[in-house]
Order: sequence, then C-alpha cells, then structure tokens
Amino acid sequence: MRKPVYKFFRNVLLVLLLVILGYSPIFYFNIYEDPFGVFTSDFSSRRVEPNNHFVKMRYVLSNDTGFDSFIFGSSRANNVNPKKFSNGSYYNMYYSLGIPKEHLNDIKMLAGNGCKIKNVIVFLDYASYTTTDTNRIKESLRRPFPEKKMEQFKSYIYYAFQIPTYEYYESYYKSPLVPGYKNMYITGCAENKVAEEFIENNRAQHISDPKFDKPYLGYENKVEYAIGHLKELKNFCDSNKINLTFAMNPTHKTTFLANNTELYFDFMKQLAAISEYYDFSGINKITCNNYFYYEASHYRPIVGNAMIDYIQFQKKIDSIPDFGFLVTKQNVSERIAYHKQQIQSVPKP
Amino acid sequence: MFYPQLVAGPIERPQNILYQFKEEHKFDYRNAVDGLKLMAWGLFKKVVIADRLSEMVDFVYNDPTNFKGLPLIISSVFFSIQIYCDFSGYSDIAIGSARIMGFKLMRNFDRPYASKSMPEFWKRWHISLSSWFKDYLYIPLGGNRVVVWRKYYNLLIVFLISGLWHGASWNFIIWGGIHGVLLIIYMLIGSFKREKPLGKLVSALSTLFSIVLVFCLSTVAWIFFRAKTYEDAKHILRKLIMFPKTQIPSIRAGNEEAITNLVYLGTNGFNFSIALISIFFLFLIEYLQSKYLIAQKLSTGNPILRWGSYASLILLILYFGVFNKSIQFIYFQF
Repeated sequence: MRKPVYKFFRNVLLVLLLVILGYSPIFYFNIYEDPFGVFTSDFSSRRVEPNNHFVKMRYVLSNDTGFDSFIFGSSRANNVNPKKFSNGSYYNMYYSLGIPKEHLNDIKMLAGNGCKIKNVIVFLDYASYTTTDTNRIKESLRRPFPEKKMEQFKSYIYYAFQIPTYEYYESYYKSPLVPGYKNMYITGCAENKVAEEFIENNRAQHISDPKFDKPYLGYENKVEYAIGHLKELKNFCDSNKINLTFAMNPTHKTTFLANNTELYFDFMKQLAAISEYYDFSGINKITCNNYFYYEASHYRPIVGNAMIDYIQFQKKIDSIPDFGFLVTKQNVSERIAYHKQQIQSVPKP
Repeated sequence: MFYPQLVAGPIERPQNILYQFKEEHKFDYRNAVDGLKLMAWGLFKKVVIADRLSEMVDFVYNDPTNFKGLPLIISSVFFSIQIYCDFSGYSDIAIGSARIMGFKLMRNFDRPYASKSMPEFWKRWHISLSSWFKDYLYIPLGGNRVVVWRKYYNLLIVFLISGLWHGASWNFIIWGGIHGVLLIIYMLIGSFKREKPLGKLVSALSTLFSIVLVFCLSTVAWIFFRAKTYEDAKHILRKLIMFPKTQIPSIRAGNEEAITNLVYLGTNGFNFSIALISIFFLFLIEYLQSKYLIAQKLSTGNPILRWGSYASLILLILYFGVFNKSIQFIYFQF
C-alpha cells in the first residue's frame, strides 16, 4: 500500500528538484543578490534601495531595539536625523512614498506587539494626500511587513519567485555597490555621501543643474482618505499616551508650484482641525535654493537638521525667518493666505 | 461539499457523481499523476494565456469607443482565446484535483476551436452545460421528435435561455440568440449538403476554411458576451472592419505609440510575443494530443523526456505566468 504513495512523492520531489534547478537563476537574483533586502540582515553595501518599509518594521518587531520614538514619512523624511532628538530614542521609519494609512497601521502593529512608543513624528507632503496603498502588495519596494506568520511566509515566497524585468536587472548591475544603507539598523537613514561631496565641491554646477526644473507630481486627490487616517492616528496616539507631532516637509519650489496648491491648502486646513503642526513648506529661502536639495524633491540633511532645531527648540535660522511656522486651528487661514501671497510674488516664467 | 467543482462546474449528473461519493477512494498512482498533469495544464492555460490576454482585452473593452479597426479585431480574437483558456483551464484544474482524490468528472471541453460547424462547436464547448440543457430543456420541449419548424424553435429557446443563464443582460441573450440562429443555419445547410468526394488538398482547405469560419462566428458572438453594454457591443461591431486611414501606415512606419496602443493593446512587444507563442503552443499541444495521444505516450515513454517535460511545463508557468494581478476566473461570476 505504501509503495505507490512513496513512488508518487518521490517523483513529485524529482520534478520539484528539476523545477528548482530551472528556476535557480531567478532564485539567485532574488535571494542571493536580494535587491529588496528582505533575505539579508547585512546592509553594509548595496546597489539599490531596499524595501525600507518591510525591513524596518521586521527589525523593530523582531528585536529588542530599545527605540521608543519613531519618525514616519516618505523618502523626503530620510534626511531627518533621529539621533538629533533628545526626548527619546528615535528611529527613522521612512520609506519610499510612505503614506498616513500605512503609518497608522505600522504604529498600531508596533504598539500591539509590545513596543512602548513615547513619541511619533510624521512628516507630510504632496505624496501623503495623493497616494493610496491599493497596489502596495504588488510593489516590491513598498510592500509592508505583515503581522501574521502565514502572510510573512507569502511575502517571502513573493520575493523569492518574482521575475525582474530585464530593465530592472540591467540597471541593478549597472548600479555600484555603496554603503548608503549601512545605518539601516542604527538610525534608519540612508546616506548619500557621493552626492553630498559633489554638491560641496561643485556648488555652482549643482545649483544650475536643469534637473531642478523637473517637478515631481502627485497622483490624485486623496485628501479625505489621508485626513481620515491622520484623524485616526491622532485618536490612537491620544488614547495610548503617545506624543504625536506633524510636520510639513519643505517641498522644493518647482515641485510645490507644479502640484495642485489648492489641494495642498485644503489638506493644510483639514489637518489643522486635527492637530497643530510645523510647516516648513511654501516659497522660502530654503525651498527656492537648489543648494539645499538633491533634486526637486528630496532635501538634504542640512535642511533636516534645521527642521529638527525648530521642532525641538523653536530655533530658527537667523537669515531665514520664514522657515518653520507652527500652524494651529486659529492661524491656518492666515498661513494659507501667506503662502498664496508668496506664490503670487514668484515671477512667472 | 465537493470543492473541485464547487464554483463553476463541470456540471455533473447525479448518476455520474453520487455513487462515487459512496465508494472508498484509495490512493492510486496513475490517478494522482494524471490529475497533477491536468492541473498543471489547466494552470498553464489560466495564468500564462488567459491572464496575459485579459490585460490586453481589458485595455480595449474597458472603453471600446476609443478604438477602431485593428485593436478591436485583435482584442476580440484574444477574448475568444482568453475565455476558452480561462474556463477550460478552470475545468482542467477541477477535473485534475478530483482525479487525484480518485473521482472521475466529465470532460467539459474538447478542442472547441477545431470545430468545423456550429453544432460541432456546441458538442465540444462547455459540454456539461450543453448536455444539461439538452436533457433538461431541449428534450422536454420535444427535442427532434417534432415537426421541423418546432425543432428549430426549441433550439432557439434553449440558446436564449442559455444566454439568460449567464446573466440578466440583453448582451447575454443576444449572444445566446446568435448561437441559436447560427446553429439553425448550419443545420439547414447541412440537410441540403451533398456529400461529394473531394481531393486531399481541397478537402484540407475546406476543413481549414470551416474551422476559421466557426472561430470567426463565435468570436463575433463573444463580442456581446464580453462588452460591458449593448452600446459598446454595437460600437465594436460597427467599427470592427473600419480601419482609419492612418492606422496601418502609422504601424508600418514603426510609430511606437501606435504599435503599443493598436497592436500590443497597451502592453509591450514582449508580452504580445509571449501571448502569441503560448497560444500557438496551446493549439499545437491540443492537436498533438488529439492526433497522437502524446500525454499517454509520455507517461510510458522515456523517463528523462517525461520528467523533463513535466518540469518544463511548471517552469513555463513560473516564468511566463501572470501572477502580479489577481484575476478571477471569468465563469466564477455566472
């Protein structure tokens, strides 16, 4: 009786072995090269950006990290150094296109798994209210780390079996190995040493680079969607005694003007009804100066440091008095009017 | 609950299935292997062909008013193949998984696009539903044992109800109606036809013409089945062979946007080529199976070839399957 069953399973295993052999180039790339960093714990040198969302959540959930405070946001929040905050042990949870709904889920998951959270700072910008998480499960760079073991297993299967496009494969091997993500488990921030050195050594060339004329555009109007999740986040933090701070990223002038500013002002207004927040956006001496940006989307650590100084100590840069403003329910209209006035003052091309 | 045929058939008769539930089913090597092979083949049809074509068909059928001529033809032809691969793929998976457990379900598809006439098409397409309608509707209505006009009337009624069975929409009723009318026409022509011996070449050409004609006719009927509204179906039929003057020249000139929108239907050359190659592979394997019973020969043939082909089929599914979209089986909605 056991013989045919044995023969069947032996043959099935044989076929599986052949399949694994035939699929080994894909396994090699997905698991050994591991472009999204889900099978490794070594981030000392990498070619491309890993899935920060997945890796960081897994790290904090599976280790006794000692972090009690978290910075959330999209890739723009990368340059906010968590070690500069003195009221807690901070970790930067930024990832590409991070949005409020996911921040809420992540914070709930952390709190639900025994992480004692003292402070949360959420950095917001045009990506926060123009994107949804609808396709996240299919986005290898942003797929979240699931709570349930079975879902985690499915995620690993997804990463092991996915077939990269030829373009991705080619660009992966063209990218050099850099130590940019070496602080993955320390600060959570990525370093861009090469770009930093280039900017400091070639300031004039960097400032006049035409890449600053190319805006990064938001997707669709998801203000209500984002506000709903931010409201829930505020309620959750209040009921769990977590200090919650919101801050608006200083979006580069080109991107700020190219996106729908009315949508942004609507978002500002609705956010002020939920909580006060720090506003670094608009037309000011930081956002209009290419020196402070890598391109028309991501600001440099020098800007992040100035933001931290204002959030923590209300300290402003002397020469830039309009960088940093605490928006409240009472003054939001005034602040929006100020932004509108600043926009009017920008010479039309 | 018998899960293999829970959602979309094959529609079994009590006399074929009930006694099997009472029987003891011991593990049988042959059944398990045959079942797995059938499941793998069904999976190939579903994830490599149907799901790939679905992306291209949706591109046009989601708003067909944006298109004329070539993309309407390509997407309609692709839908004919998509629905066959989707549904017969599901049937193969259902029959295969039942076979592993020792149950024998009836065959639901028998190379329908190799049919030389519409009556033959309906003997090969969704066999379990067609025979159900025959036994429970056509025969009770009188079947063939009535006057000629009444026989055709019964057929039309059966097909209209078959359309309605798929959904409460005029499009499905029209789809059923088209098939009913075509069946009657074929039967009328068949009764007047004289069998004359034909030469080999003429006979082959005549067979090929008949097969292509049946495929074209069923494709036209599928337009009503797939279009979201009657208006969409009407637009597709009207503009199907209306080629805008610039369409072919812009494709010939290598205009990338034109090729992407009008030929690749919103995807790319790789996707389109994989679709064509896999369709060719499907029909080739089905032909070889019907002619030479290759699956059976493979089971007893060279083990290296056997295991190699099983592994290759799974690898084809893994490499060329569409897994990044969760596409439901079309027949799950009916």
